Amino acid sequence: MKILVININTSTSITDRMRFVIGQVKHPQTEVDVICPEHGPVTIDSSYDEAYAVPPTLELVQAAQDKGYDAILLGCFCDAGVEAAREISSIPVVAMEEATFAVALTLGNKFGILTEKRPRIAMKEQHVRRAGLLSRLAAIRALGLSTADLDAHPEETKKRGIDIARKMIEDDGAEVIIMGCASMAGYDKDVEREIGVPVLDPTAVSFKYAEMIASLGVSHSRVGLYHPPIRKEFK
Amino acid sequence: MKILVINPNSSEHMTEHIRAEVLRIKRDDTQVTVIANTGAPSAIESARDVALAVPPLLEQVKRANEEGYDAVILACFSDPGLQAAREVSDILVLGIEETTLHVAAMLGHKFTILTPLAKRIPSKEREVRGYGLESALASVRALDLSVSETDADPEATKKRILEVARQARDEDGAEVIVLGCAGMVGYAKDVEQELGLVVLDPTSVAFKIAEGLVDAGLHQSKQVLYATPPMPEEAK
Repeated sequence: MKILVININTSTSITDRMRFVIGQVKHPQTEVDVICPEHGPVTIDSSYDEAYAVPPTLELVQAAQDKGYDAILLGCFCDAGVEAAREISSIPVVAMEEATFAVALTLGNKFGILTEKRPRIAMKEQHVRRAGLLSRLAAIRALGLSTADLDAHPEETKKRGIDIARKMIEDDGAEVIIMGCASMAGYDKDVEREIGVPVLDPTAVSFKYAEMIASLGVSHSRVGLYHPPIRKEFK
Repeated sequence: MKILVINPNSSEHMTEHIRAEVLRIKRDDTQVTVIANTGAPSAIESARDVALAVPPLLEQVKRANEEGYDAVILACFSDPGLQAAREVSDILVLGIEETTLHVAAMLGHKFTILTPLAKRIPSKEREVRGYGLESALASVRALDLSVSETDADPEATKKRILEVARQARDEDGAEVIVLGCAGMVGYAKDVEQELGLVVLDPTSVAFKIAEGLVDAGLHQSKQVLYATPPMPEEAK
């Protein structure tokens, strides 16, 4: 089995850590390539960043079509560009946020999401609403750190994560905690040990989900939302 | 008052269609400019088309902020780039879909959205859910005409709109019909007379709401969701 992971930002440091985390959780026989686009924002912290990250990501999805991959994982906990990627892909495209939500639903009644900064709370809540899962959401709370800080300061991130996750469990009724940013890849076990509820690292969870989809041999439906786009002129 | 209407696709013909309708309904003292989105797909009919239309659109929104406009309207019924546009804009930005759906929810118990192609039904449903209006949605129905076909053949389009709107009324309980594509602009009155339903033309609705919000001195909150991202971005 061969899986392509696309980190949709251009940070080689985040890409390297995703590669490391995936290397630890992957099935021994799974081959993995972890790449990021050459151009675009270094981190994704706003809709504006997402808008510029998507076109180069779609080019990588297009280029991967005839390279023998069994699945593509889009590695950003915002699922930017996933609908468009599925439209143009005949191989399964797994979305990090969506796959993690799907797994969280099976592990507890309500999940809580740790996110970077306050502006992302509203955005995450919109994603949960669009997925139709508001009734399963306990809370979204921010660490008050930028994506770059999460990447650069693992110990501070974990410490804050533990405090805030405890609040979500005690005050908001969370039973499962999602480390809601790929920059926190690999921090889950240290947090889980302290707080005693399942902690999901979207990078690891969505990668295992991609292995499962590929081994089941199923892919996204092409008759509705992910129907291939109509060919047309671009002026 | 100065309003910029951006047609998020690059079709000059559709831009002309939107311009004619906006000029017809605008207040005498409103100055309006209607432009196409150069560099974008000629019609927006898929998520791929949206993804490629948004970056050039954001450049236009940024420019409008420097050129003394009071509001920007994104005239495509999928609100491409709306959140990002509000992040980069201090002046009011309205998407014709979000604006019209909220008005539709206010004017009747349930509304139906007419969309050009069946392919867009699931994405419309997702957008309605995203705006938190699922419980007010009667249905999304397709005309089975592409955007360029709706634009090119007005008589066939009007006939098909009447047929599908009647089904929405009789079978789905719709009280309000939303003409869910800027290519259907200008057909509202005929359908209304024929079927006795309230019919919303999103471009017109959003334009009049924009005039009202500008008068009232209102714009998007820049607190959380639409907070301005740090710029210049660390782009590679």
